[in-house]
This record gives sequence, C-alpha cells and structure tokens, in this order.
Amino acid sequence: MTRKGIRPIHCLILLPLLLVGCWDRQELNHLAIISALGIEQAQDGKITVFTQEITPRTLKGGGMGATSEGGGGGKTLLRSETGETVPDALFKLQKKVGRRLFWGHTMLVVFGERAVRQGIQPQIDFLIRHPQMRLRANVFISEDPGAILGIQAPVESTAARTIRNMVDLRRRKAMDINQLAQMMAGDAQTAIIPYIQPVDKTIPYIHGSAILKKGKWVGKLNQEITEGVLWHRNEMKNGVISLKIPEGRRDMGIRVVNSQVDMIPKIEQGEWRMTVRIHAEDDIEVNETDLSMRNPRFVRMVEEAAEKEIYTLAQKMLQKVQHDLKADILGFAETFHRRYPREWEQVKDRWDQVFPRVKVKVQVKVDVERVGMTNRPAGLPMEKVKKK
Amino acid sequence: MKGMILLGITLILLLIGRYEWWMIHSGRRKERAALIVLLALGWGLAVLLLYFPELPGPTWLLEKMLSPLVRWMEGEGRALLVLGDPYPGGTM
Amino acid sequence: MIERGRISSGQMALILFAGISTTGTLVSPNMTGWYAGRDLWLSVLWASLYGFVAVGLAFRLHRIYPGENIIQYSPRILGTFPGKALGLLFLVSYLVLVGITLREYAEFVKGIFLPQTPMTVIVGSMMLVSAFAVKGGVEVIVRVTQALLPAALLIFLVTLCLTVQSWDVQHLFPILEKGIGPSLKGSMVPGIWFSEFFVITFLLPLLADPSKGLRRGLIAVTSVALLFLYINLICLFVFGMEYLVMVYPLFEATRYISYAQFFEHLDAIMLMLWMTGIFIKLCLVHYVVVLGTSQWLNLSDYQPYSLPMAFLAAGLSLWVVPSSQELYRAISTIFPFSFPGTNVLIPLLLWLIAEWRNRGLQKGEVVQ
Repeated sequence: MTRKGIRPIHCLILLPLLLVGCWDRQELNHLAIISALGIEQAQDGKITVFTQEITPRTLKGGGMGATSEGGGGGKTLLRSETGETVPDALFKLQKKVGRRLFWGHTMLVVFGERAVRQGIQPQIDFLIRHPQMRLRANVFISEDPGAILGIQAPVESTAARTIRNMVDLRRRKAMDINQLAQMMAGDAQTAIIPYIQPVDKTIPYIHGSAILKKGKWVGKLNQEITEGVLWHRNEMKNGVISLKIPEGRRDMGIRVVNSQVDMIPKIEQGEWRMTVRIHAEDDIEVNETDLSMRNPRFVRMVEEAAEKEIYTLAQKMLQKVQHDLKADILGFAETFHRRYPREWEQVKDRWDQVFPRVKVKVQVKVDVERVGMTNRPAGLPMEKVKKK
Repeated sequence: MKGMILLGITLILLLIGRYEWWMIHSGRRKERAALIVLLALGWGLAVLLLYFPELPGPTWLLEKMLSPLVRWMEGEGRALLVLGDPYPGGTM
Repeated sequence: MIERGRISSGQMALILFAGISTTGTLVSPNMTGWYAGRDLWLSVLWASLYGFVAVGLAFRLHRIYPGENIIQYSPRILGTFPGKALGLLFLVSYLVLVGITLREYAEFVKGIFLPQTPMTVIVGSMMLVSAFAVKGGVEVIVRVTQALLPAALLIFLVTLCLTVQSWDVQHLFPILEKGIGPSLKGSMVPGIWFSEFFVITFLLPLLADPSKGLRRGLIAVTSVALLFLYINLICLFVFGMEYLVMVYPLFEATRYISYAQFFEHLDAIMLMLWMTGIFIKLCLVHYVVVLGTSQWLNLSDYQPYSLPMAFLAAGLSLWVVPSSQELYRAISTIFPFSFPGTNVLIPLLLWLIAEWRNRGLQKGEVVQ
C-alpha cells in the first residue's frame, strides 16, 4: 500500500453505512406465528379469516407449565377479521396484532363450507402466491372454521399439530395445498377435500369429504363413500373392515395393511371403459367366528367376503360420484389422457358428459397375509373350533 | 433525498477511485484514464437512474431489435399455456 | 498476458459447471415448462447442443489463435475496427449478463426472504464480494470454487433426492403429446444457459494443460445437461403440470420436503446453496468482463477495474429490467435469441471466416 492510514479512514467512512439498519430482521419475539388459517365467506361477498396463533408461554418458577390458568390464556389464540379479500382481511388483522404475522409454520388451512360454495380458486391462488406459505399445509373443509381453529389441543401444542398427526397416523395423503392445486388445475378440474368437525372443545374429527368442480362445491360425501374414494385413490391404509362370514355367522375384523390400485383404460368402438383393479393385503384383527385360520379354505372365505365388501363399497361410491355428482375425482381423466392422448383431445372440453358414461369394471383381490398372533379363535376350547 | 443519494454515490465512487488510483503505477497514464472513464460511466448511469428511473433498459432495446422473434415466442407460448385463467367466467 | 495465473482444466470445468448451472436451476424449469409442458425435460437434451457447439467453437478458435480469447483474436480475424466493435459487443453482453444474474439473485432473495430490504443493498453486497474475488485474479476464483462447490453440490443433490417422497412419475406421460414442437420451442430457454458456455474462450488461454481443455469443457456441458435434466424431472414429478404456476419450482419442491414432521423447512439451506452458486457465477462473468475490458483497451493490468466495473454492473442490474415479471418475460422471450445469438451464432461466423482466411496456411501460421 502506498500510503499508510488510508484504509482506517476508509473504514471509518464506510462503517456508518452499515448502521442504517437491518430491514428484514425477524426476532422470534416480534413474530406472531400462525399455525392454522381459516377462510370463510361472510356477508356481501366479504371474506372472514381466522388465524390460530401460537402464544408463547413463559414457564413460571416451580416448573409448572402455564396450562393451569383459567379461561383466556390457552396455548393458541384465535383471531378473526373480515375484509374484501383474504389479504385485505389479513392486513386488517395485522393492524390489531402487535407482532408481524408469520406464515412459515402454517400446517393447516380450513375452508368454511360457504366459502367453498362460492369458489376457492382465488384463495388457492393466494396460498400459492404467498412467499412464506408452505405447500405442505393440509387443507380441510368445515362448517365452522373458527371452531376448529379455536380447539385447544390437550396433548399437542396446537390443534393444527393434532390434525397433522391424525393425518400422518392414517398414513394417507390428506389434501395439501399442492395436491389440491394440482387436482383443481388437472384434466378433470375436480377436487376432494376432507371434512373436519369439532367433536367438543378439544377434539377435531376428520369425517366425510366434499367434492369440488372447477373450484366450487358440488356435493358432500359421507364417511362410507369417502372411504370408497380413498380405496380408489390408493390412500386407504390402516383401515379396518368388518366382515360378515356366512359360515361362521359372526363378524370378523381385518386391517388393510397395503393396497394397490391399477386403472386400465380402454376405448373400443367409441366406448370408454375403465377397469379398476384393487389388490389389498390384509391382516386379521379379530375373529369372532369359530373358524380356524389354519384351514386355507376358511382363509379364502374371509378373503372372498372382504372382496365382496370392497366391491360393494366401490359400486356405491361409483354410483354417487360418477352418476349423482358427475365429478371425476377418481383420476379417470388423467388415466385416459395418458393412454389415449388423441381421443382425449376430442373429449376434453365435454369430459363432464363423457365421464358418467364411462363403463367401469371393478375387480377386487384380497390376500390375507397374516392372521395375527393366533391361528385359531382364542379363548375357545379346542373341540369347539371348526377345523374343516 | 435524491441529493443525499447522489452524494452517497459520488462518495462511494470517489472512494473506489482513490483506492484504485494508488494501485496503478503513476507512470501509466492510459490505465489511470481508463479508471476515470469507468468511474464516470458508473456515475453517469447512477445519476441517470436516480433522476429517470423509468428509463428503458437494455432489455427494452433488445426487445425492439428482436420484436418479430419475441412475438413469435410469445404467441405460441400463450396458446400452449395451460393455466392463465383456468376457470373463465369468474369464481367470486 | 495480463493474467499471470494459471488454472487446470479440471478447475475450469468446475467453475463453468457452477457458474452456468446455478441460475438455471433456479428459474429455468418454469419457463421451459411454459412452452414445452410435460416435455420440458426433453428440451434440456435439445438445448445441450448449444453447449457442445459453443465449447467446440471456442476450442477451434483457440487452436487457430493459441493463448488468445475472443477479444484478442476478433480484430485479427475481422480487421481492427470491426473486430474491436465485436469485442465491445461481447463485453457489453457479458456485463449485461452480470447485471441479469445479480437481478435474478436479488429478485429471488427479495421476493422470498428479505421483502423489506432495498434492492440496492442486496445487489451491492453480493457484487462487492464478487468484485473483491475478481480483484484477486483467476486463481482466487477457482480456489474459492474448489473450496465451496463440492460441499454445496453434495448438499444440493442430497436435498433434491429427498423430494422422492412426493414424486409421481405418472406426470411424465403422455410424452410428446403434441409432437416434438413444444419441446423444441422450450429448448430455447435452457439454451440461454448452454450458450453461456462460450465464456470458456476466456478460460482456455489460462489453462496449464490446454490439451485436456476440450474434453473437460464437454464434460462440464454434459454435467450441466444432466443436472438440468434431473431438476426438470423433479419439478415435473413433484408438481405435475402445476409447476407452471411456480416461479421457483425447484425451491418450492425442496420446501415441500417433509419427513416425520421433523425434517422439513429446508428452504434456508437452499438459499445458502444458491447464494454460493450465484457468487461463483458472478465471479466468473465479472472476471470475464474486467479481463476483457482491459484486453480490449490494451491495458497492462485488470485488477484496478474490478470495483468500478462492479459499480457499473450493480447499476445495470437495477436498470436492465423494470420488474421481476419483466425479467422472467425477458428470459422466456428475448434472451433465448440474444444469448445464443452472441454466444453461438457470432462465434460460428467468426470461426468460418477464420478458417477461410487461414486456408492453405501451414499449421501454426495465422493471418495477421
């Protein structure tokens, strides 16, 4: 360096430039961490939003958690606000909250039933466009999103986490934002969103589902039909089926361990056909009959009963979804599109009319893989067990 | 406000200039001239952007030069576009 | 020679790989998909041709004029004035590339992580660091690359593998639904990045082992093609046709990763990796601009011009496009012509003229 002293002077001049501020500093105690978002239609086309905010708790001396206090101070805080659009309502909400709303940990989005009737495409757009929002957040429909978000989870930190755990436990892919957006923009432009209801102030319950077409509500499915759809969409894992065994005249419970669904599309002489093959592997959970499972004939009997059960369920589901609601949530459109791109090109604009006319053949195959820890009815004397 | 920014820009450029000036051997006049020209260019651009932020940029120029090609690219792209407005007719 | 540093061909391949692929992994899948739809991964294969041609041309030209880059030999091929004009065109286009790279980085960071921070600060801080690296010379740049890249690339690839939980391979079909046209058109977009491989013309003269230059250059093109193929497939598998709505599909795909409610929120890691890559890219292109300018003006040194040029580039980054949507529109409609134009078409013409002018000469002789 030619002259000593230049550098320190430069540093002194440059340093204050660094002091002008950190624009985006985010301290944990300046954030309102939102664990769940609820969206409901209000009067005159307005939108009401609900947020479930995690309230940071300070542990008092003595090690007792702050859960023991009276009303008002739960682990989460429910807020709501109404505005023209979701961002407008959130902006108004922000004005009431001293901390900056933070969406990076939002695990749950609950749409109100009325909002879904009005159409949720703008809301999906908002959720995807938002830079902080996780596409992994689970989406549900509820008659009262506020009640769901107001649930105080007794064990978990938030109701949102309880619900997320429920979803994980069932090991099926409950709708998240990404999947919902994919379905809505997919070939059939339909979607299925599970319903969630509060059982009481601490328990949410996932039960039934709603069907959307072009972003709008078309109908509701009860739990039975929903399970049929889940079977079809290969999302039925860990489900339990009760069977009536004619020979044993009593019930048998089997658990679905694994299932595989294949859809084979075929177009013959202008007739669109779909073969749906369901293959399930089951364990026997309870055997109320006197049949010994050592006998392959009895096992086959159980399998046949299960096949019949699943088949009936599939037919019921098809009746409702294909013929009543005429909404293709079964992925037929994509399947035909993949196999017959040219034919698809011709019908894609009137798929609504073609879909109910698709001839569906359901084939079910059930394999009982394990019979549990005993191979004969337990608690029954040996001579009463039917072996042949 | 703009005056302050201008001052800041000038200050930064002067600092860079002063720092680099001593890095170039004093006998090399062309090198020092090039430095000054570069700094002047930078200063000019900064001032221009400061007072005319709407000034069309290089991309605008390129677009004008390549406009038939750009239009071809845009036209087909839109036709193939799957999204846009998936639900015409409005949902709200 | 005003650059006294020497690099090995392996280092060259490494810096080319990092410098070219980074911004491409960030923004290219969305825009390729815009045109190519489901066939976007095929587009990458077509586009990689640009890369092979660009590297081949640079190598051929370098064989005719050993130890020189395009700034130096274009006056010898075209005559002083047209040659210098062409050199200026290249310098300006690379300076604009520095600006665009900075802007892509700034839009990404500002859009997702630092919405309140002024863009000048985001741009300025990154450019300052890169400018100092360039001041250190080519050896500093390659050493930095060698230090940062392997770890960053490893984490990047491992993170990408984790998206496998949300893959749906069915999204791939039907392949070539509307014929080969859409995928060819889509290939114009990754073509921008592959044509950037012509910057190898500035690195070839610096090689300590020039004989391996071509091979390593082609290896770099192949690796970038494989990486692009991989990321495009991931975006398709995770989002299906929905990736069309994501501006940064790969980023969203990594953010979508979730294992056992515990291993998730990986976006900060991805930002870190992208920053590393963008830094390397800025170093590479900024180095090319600074070195090229000094050679263009026949100056004795290039280091003093790094900082002033960086200031110019930072200004340019704010000026080059007015907004983020204009940036992405430019990438999908304008740059697919301008980049291959300057980096593939012009060198091709240059090479043809050079071969024609040097016809009948003995090996090692060139027309002055």
